[in-house]
Amino acid sequence: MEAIGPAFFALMEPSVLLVVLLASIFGLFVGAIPGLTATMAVALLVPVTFFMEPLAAIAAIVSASAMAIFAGDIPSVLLRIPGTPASAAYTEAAYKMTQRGKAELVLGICVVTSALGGLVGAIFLMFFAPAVARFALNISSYEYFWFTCLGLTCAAFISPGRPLKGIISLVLGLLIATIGLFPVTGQPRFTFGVPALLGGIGLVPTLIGIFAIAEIIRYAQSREALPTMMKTKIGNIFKGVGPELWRYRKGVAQGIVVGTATGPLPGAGADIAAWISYALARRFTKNKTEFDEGSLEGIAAAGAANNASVSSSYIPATVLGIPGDSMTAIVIGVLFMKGLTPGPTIFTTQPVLIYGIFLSFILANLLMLPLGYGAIKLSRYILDVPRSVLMPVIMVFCIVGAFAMDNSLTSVTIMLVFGIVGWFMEENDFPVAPALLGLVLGRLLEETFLTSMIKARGNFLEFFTRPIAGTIGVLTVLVWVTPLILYLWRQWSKRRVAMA
Amino acid sequence: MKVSDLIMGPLIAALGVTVLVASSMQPKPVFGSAYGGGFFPSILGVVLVVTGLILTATGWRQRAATPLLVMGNWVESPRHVANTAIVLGALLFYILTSGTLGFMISAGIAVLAMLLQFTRKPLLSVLVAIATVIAAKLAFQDVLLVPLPWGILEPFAGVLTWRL
Repeated sequence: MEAIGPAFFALMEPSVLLVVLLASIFGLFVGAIPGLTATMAVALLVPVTFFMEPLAAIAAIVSASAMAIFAGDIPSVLLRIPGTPASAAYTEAAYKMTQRGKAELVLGICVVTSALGGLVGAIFLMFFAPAVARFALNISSYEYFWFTCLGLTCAAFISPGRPLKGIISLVLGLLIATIGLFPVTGQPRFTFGVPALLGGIGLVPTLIGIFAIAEIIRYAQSREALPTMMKTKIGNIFKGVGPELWRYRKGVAQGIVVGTATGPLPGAGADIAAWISYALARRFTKNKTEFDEGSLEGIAAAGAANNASVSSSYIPATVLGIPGDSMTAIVIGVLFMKGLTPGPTIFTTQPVLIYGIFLSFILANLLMLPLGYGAIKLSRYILDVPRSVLMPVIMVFCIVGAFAMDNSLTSVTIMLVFGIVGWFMEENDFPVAPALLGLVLGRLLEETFLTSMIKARGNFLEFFTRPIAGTIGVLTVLVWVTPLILYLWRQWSKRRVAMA
Repeated sequence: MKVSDLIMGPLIAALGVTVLVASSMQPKPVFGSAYGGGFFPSILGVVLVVTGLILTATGWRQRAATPLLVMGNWVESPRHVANTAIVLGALLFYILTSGTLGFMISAGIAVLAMLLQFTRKPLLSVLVAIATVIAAKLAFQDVLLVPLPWGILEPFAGVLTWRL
């Protein structure tokens, strides 16, 4: 905790502040445009952060992602299209309010609850993460192996669609991570004789391919035009927000708790936090008819929840080095690129950096009020930018971004290939997040697995001998076999019904 | 483009088998442990084979209800087919020509083709294409010092480098 002072000053460097400001504006812009997600904002930002100091790089990603999640609310309110999936839960309700001429108030509530949720989540992160790290310092390669397995499995199971497709996606990601030099012997593996693949498949071109190029392909094929915008005058969005917030204080508190709690869970991102919080708000509302006709109650709760979960999702990512969703997976990847290994020791080796990252959450969420206000004021112009112009422009930046990673065309080719792969996976309901997590964590998973196997002299039962490792190991194996047990149970009960 | 599980399953299982074969060809370490580069991938291969077979089974059960291949409704519209072709074509064009033509010309042509196809407004497309290429060049080549290929513009590299 004594690192907070130096961390604060490191974050207050003019160059870092400028980066945060620019990244925030970029995040607001990308998040506000329907079809461009928060993950895409970050994927496009990563090549630029490659050239920055670690703190500036992560602070840029943090502020861009926080802003993009909030900015997704703007088209929800004005166009009835969520800007990012995290806003989808309350798009209907928000748009109904707009139709009643309350766009101003809804936007005001969105920006304030987003900032509030993000802030509380960040404070929780700041106090909770070091405590978890102290506990995590005692873990060995066995525990690390099981933690990673559990995280990856949950991510594959919880992801939208069928768990089976999530698992396939995860395994494909892990498989791609094995391309390159095998670290133990230094021999090339699965490189197909291509020298450029010796270093492995780069994370950044893959990211840009999956999250940006695939999106451009989808846009090229989409036959639906955007609906026309509600012509509402937007004046002072903060007018009347205070009393409404007080009225729905319980909902906001619920949203913050739900968001903070779901954030660290693997596989559950900001969108799931918003859905859960919205459903809870509906369950406990006093007036269900009013709620369903579009009321601020659910919007306030879910708006706080999605931003709170963005903050707290950094707990497993920074403490254990195990990301739970695409966004934190990117952050882990960036830390690796900077030669830093996230994990419990990062609190002792890089305290200034880690607290700087936590503080950047607070900074980003404070900046959200003025910048969010500006974005809402300019929303008419932002939403007017035609996507037919934007998409080709984005493609040029994708090309240079991928190229900048290793100054080779191989990266651009990898980007194209993964653009098509990402598009194909999405079309066939294969979630892409597990593949990304597998790609980021594949190397470490293999390393800890081999280290543990060597320590155990090939006896896999050794993996269960330490108390924590044993518990998590059994838990993970249970998660693995649950589908099988469920299947057998269903067959058995079917047979019993048939016999009776 | 939605492919039935009945096709996806065998493909994934086949990939698993390929991974298993490739893993078995990995050299085994002479000293120390018995775990070579093929050990971990072979586990992944097994998982792929198993999941591929399960996927095939579910595809088989639903074979009456789901067609083998469903294309999106974009294939019925020539304009959207052209859109898709231009996106992929522009990227391929850049990959193939940027070495000889250089970043500015290759990327300029690629983005111009996309803009023309998407907007159908020539003047706007040309202006946006030029602005985009210059912005990308300034940000990445002049500020971040990424060596974007010069190609045939190499003789003018000195004039075209705008450092502060």
